[in-house]
Amino acid sequence: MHTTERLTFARMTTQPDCDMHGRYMAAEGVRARRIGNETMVLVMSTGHYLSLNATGSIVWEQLLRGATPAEVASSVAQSFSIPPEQAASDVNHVMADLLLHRVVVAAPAAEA
Amino acid sequence: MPALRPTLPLIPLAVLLYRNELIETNSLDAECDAVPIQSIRGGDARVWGEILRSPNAYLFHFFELARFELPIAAMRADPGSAIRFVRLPAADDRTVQHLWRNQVLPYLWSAQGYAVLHVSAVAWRRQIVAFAGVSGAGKSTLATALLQSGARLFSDDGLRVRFHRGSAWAWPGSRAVRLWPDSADALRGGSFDAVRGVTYSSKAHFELRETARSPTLPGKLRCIYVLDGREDVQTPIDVQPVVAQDAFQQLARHSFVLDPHESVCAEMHFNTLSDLAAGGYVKRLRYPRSYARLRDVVQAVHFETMNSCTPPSA
Repeated sequence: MHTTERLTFARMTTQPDCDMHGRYMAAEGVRARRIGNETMVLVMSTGHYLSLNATGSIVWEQLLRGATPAEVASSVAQSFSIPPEQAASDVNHVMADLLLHRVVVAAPAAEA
Repeated sequence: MPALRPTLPLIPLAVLLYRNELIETNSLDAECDAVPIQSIRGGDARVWGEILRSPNAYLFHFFELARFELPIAAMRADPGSAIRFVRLPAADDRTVQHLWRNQVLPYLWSAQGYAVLHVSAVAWRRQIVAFAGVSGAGKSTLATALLQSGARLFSDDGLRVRFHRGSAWAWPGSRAVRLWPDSADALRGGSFDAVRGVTYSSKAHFELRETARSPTLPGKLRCIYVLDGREDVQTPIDVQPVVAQDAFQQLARHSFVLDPHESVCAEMHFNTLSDLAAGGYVKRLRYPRSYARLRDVVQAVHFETMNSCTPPSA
C-alpha cells in the first residue's frame, strides 16, 4: 500500500488559549461535513483532514452561527447539564485546537 | 412509455479521447525549481518516493527507479501534453510501466475530478465491489479468488469513483494484480498467466495478468469492504456496516490525492468520500486469513454483495 502523509488524520490534542468573548469564523479554504455524530473538516491550507467529535461539532456549528466561545459554553452547560466551569474548559480546549489547525480565525472587528 | 434516462455518467469527451503519451528522456525540465509536496510510502511506512511541484508540472521521484514529469496541462486532459520520464538503472520496462499505471496514473486521475481509492475491485455484472486494507491485508488475493466465481477484475490499486445522479460510479483501471508468493501459489491457474514482477519491491511479488475479457465501461459501485483478516482459522466470517465517521477515515487513508492544496481537487475528493461514507457503501469484512477457508470467504462476499449491500441509489 502506498499512502500519503496528508491523509493521516490529526486528532486535536493541543490547547493554546483563545478569546472566549471574541467571534470567530471558518478560515479560508475550510470545508466541513457532518457525518454521523462527528464533523469531518478539510483544511486546504495545510492539506489535512481533521475530525471533530460530538462536542467539537457542536462548538463548530454554533461558532458558524455567530456565537462567541463563552456563549457556546453556556449553551453546552445547559444542554448537557454540566457545570459551567467544565463546559468553559471543554470549549476552550476545542477552540484552541481549531485555532491551532487553522480551522477558524478571529472574525474581523467589523463583524465582531 | 418510460422516459429516456441516461444509464451512464457523462464522461468528459477530452478524457475519452486523451491517451497520455510516455516519452523517455535524459532529464526533466521542471526539476530545477520543484519543491516537495508529499512523500510516497510503502506498506511498511518506508518512504520510497516523493511528489514535487514546479510552476508548470508535478514531478514523481521513485527513488533509484524512475522520475516522471506530469505537466499541469495533463491535468486538464490537454492532448498537446506528453508525460516524460527518466529511467534509472534499477528499473526495467515492466517496472516503469507499473509505476506509471499503478502510481502516477491514479494521482493524475485524482486531479481530473475523481476520487481515487487504493483498493482492489472486481465487477459482477457491472456491479463493482472493492476491497480496502493495509498492505498484506489480502485485497488482491480476495479479488483474484473472486474471479474464479465469475467476477471480472475491474481495477487493482487505483479505482476512480465519482457520483452521478446520486449513485457512486467506478471506472476500470489497471487489470494486473500483484500477489505474494503464497497467494500466487494458492490461486494459480484459471484464466491467469503468471508473469514476473517488478523490480522495486523488497519482497518477491507475482504479477498475474487476466487473459479473459475485462470490463471497459464504468459500473455502479456496490460496496467497499474494509478487510479485517484474523490469523485464527476458526474466525467466523462476518460483515458489519461501518459507522459513517469511521468509514470516512478508512476511505481517506486508502486514497490517492495528487495535490491537497489544489482546491478543486481537494474539495471534490472530500465531497466524494463524504458521500460514500454517509451513503453506507463501506462495510467491514472480518475473515480468517486461511487459504483453506478462502472459498467460504468468497461465498460470503458474494452473498452479502448480492443480498445485503446498500443499493447504489443513495
